[in-house]
Amino acid sequence: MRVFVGLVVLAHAAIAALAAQDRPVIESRLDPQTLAAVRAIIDSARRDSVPLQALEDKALEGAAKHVPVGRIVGAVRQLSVELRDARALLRAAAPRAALADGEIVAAADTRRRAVPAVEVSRLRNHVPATAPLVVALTVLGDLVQRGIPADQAREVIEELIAAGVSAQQIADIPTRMDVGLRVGAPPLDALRSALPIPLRPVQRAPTPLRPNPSRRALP
Amino acid sequence: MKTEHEDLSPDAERFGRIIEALDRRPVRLPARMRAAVMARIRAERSSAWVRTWTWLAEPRLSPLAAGVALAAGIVALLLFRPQVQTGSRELAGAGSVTVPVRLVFLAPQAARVAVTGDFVRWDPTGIPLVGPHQNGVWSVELQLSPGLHHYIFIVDGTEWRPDPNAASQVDDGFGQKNTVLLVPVQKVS
Repeated sequence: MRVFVGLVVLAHAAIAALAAQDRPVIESRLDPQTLAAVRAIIDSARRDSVPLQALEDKALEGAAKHVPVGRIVGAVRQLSVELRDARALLRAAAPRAALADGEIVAAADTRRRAVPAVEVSRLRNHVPATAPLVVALTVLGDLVQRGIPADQAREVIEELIAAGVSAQQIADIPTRMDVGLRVGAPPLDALRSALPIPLRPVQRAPTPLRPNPSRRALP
Repeated sequence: MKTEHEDLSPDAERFGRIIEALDRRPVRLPARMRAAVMARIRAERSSAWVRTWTWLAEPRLSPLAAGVALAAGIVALLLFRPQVQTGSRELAGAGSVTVPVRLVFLAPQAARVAVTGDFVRWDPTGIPLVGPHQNGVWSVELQLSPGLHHYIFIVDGTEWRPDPNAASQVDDGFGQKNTVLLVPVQKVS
């Protein structure tokens, strides 16, 4: 009898622990004041089909870093605006294509790294539906951060995708480029030596958004 | 001189023989009476609390069997409980695939190093790195979903530092930098 009651109590404790684990993480990690403010932003973002988990993660990140409440709320609100803009940008570039949350987050990240909206839009417009847009957008931001002009960086990525280069190989380009940069090579030279395949040289010219721009490579 | 007990002993012996004889006689109740008694018992059911307590208290199940059943129940709960969604940054079509990713961090003076990021919902304690190995290198292997991840190292529980070996960093919105980690899995077609 005593053993049975003990087992029942143990089972109750285990179930309660599991239930606590399944509770939304932001409820357990954010103080009530932050939680209320973040919830209001998330409710507003939900109407715009913005990736909500990215907003929750930003609030959790601020709490983990012991950032004051006001700055957490400000950062979540700013990210909400960035995600909304990124979603609109991708949607406008390809109205009928499916849009994943990860692609919206990646586009917002790329924009935060000083990539012009028009280049994000062009990349979205020219990357096939079967290609990983998240990789293309992230590497675009990486190359721009390393001093490659945004339009050339975008064209290189489009060329590589068109040539059937794997996502892993494209993702490795920034790290391989760093090898050249560390020994003092100019960014374009470092990029050229980091490419997994040689790209055909074409003359540089501004490209329209539509119809499809001619593909160009590094000079 | 006879005592009072000696006077009563013959009667006691006689009564004892009579009672002994009565006990050995089979009791036969009329069928109607038996049915009436059982109907009365069924009508006077105990309360729900008493029945529950009786059910709990009666040792229908051995402690060993109960323990096995409980363990099976807990295992079932752990296996089939709803999983937390972590797919907001995953690549389209990646499904539930995970990719092994090894992170290393150079911190010869550190007593402990951990990594936290969106893949653990920014858990403030993070995942501990193993080390220090030779030359003060700490390392950990993670199983991450394909896609874009942000993370940062926590040194000695207080110092937040981006990964100097990573391909890129991005403003975290709080005046610091996060490391950007791209985990590809698909082949571009």
